[in-house]
Amino acid sequence: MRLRAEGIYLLLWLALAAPPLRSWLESSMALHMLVQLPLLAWIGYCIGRVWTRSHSLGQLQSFNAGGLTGLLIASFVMLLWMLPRPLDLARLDASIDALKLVSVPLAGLAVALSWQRVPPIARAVVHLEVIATLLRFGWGYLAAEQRLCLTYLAEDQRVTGILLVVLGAGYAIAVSWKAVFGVPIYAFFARADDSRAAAP
Amino acid sequence: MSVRRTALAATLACLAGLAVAHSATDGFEAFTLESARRLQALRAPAPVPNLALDLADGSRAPISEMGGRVLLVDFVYSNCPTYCASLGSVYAQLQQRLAAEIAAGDVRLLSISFDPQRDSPAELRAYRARHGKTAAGWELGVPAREELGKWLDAFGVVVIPDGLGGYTHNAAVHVVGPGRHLIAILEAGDVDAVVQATRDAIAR
Repeated sequence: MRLRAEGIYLLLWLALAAPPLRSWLESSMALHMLVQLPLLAWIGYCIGRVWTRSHSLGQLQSFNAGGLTGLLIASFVMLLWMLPRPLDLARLDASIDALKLVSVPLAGLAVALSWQRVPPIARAVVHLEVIATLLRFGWGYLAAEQRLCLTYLAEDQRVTGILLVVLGAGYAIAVSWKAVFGVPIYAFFARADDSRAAAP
Repeated sequence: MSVRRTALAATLACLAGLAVAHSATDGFEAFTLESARRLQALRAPAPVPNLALDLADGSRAPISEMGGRVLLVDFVYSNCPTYCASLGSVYAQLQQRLAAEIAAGDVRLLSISFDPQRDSPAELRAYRARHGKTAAGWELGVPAREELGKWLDAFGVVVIPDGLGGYTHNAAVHVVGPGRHLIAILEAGDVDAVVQATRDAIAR
């Protein structure tokens, strides 16, 4: 059962790393930053979840009290790949791209190994930092007067900026929703669906 | 135990992260590829390879035979309706502002087309005639198709389709000084700065 789950994630990773899907996702800045990078991180995260459920990982986790080390590594990796220069290089240089395809899932894996260990207040700080980072990058790409990526057009950069800001705002709403109402935002929609289904 | 180990691991992670970020951005100075190549030209000028061009007069010559102590290189394509048109007028201005240096044989202007499919020597001559009053000191050339990639790599120029049948690229004026070293990459719109950098390079 477990092996099958890991196998599926590995296949997904291979599909993302194989030329057709990879070059399509890298053909636009918005797809590159907002689809490929999150998918790669998500794959790593899912594999990490499977591992944490089946292994205690005690030896490794003794270096990761409060999830601190894992979150730091993940932050550095994700921040770096959001900069214009590494984005360009990933597109122009296959070996840099390979580095990205490996390091981003590792960042997701690090989050999976760490998140359950992070104390609630520190989680809030991490959420805030993610929101601030999305807004900061979005604003930066929107405010730039010139193209920041040489491999992407100005319009692509503008769209990416807008989407980053929207994503940051959506993330902020989702996080505050839970803080304010005590239930995750998807529970609200799920309940709305239930009531509709129950109506005669 | 776990706290001490974590403190150590987290410190190492921070140091490693900062080291990678430092080297990936040239000491937190170049966050884009464009600023990186400009910084590289100023900090560690590298010689450009002696590649050949098909020139506007129909002859073929390597870059070492372009003459002049200083060569001002830009990349264009003659079919360009927008940006290269302004590059053309910048070169016409440079031709006038640097007339004395050109006459003395110190400076040559060189426009290189990155569209070998469409740009023949005749197209290049027409492009020059559209912008400049004379041909004095302004050479144009187009690389052989198989050498285009080498030309672009040598100068760090990235050309992408603009989605409208044309191209977009990181336009700039590249100052090639003595020994064919790429010593500066300047904003094409800032003619004063290009003139100043050229005079500095001649005086070196």
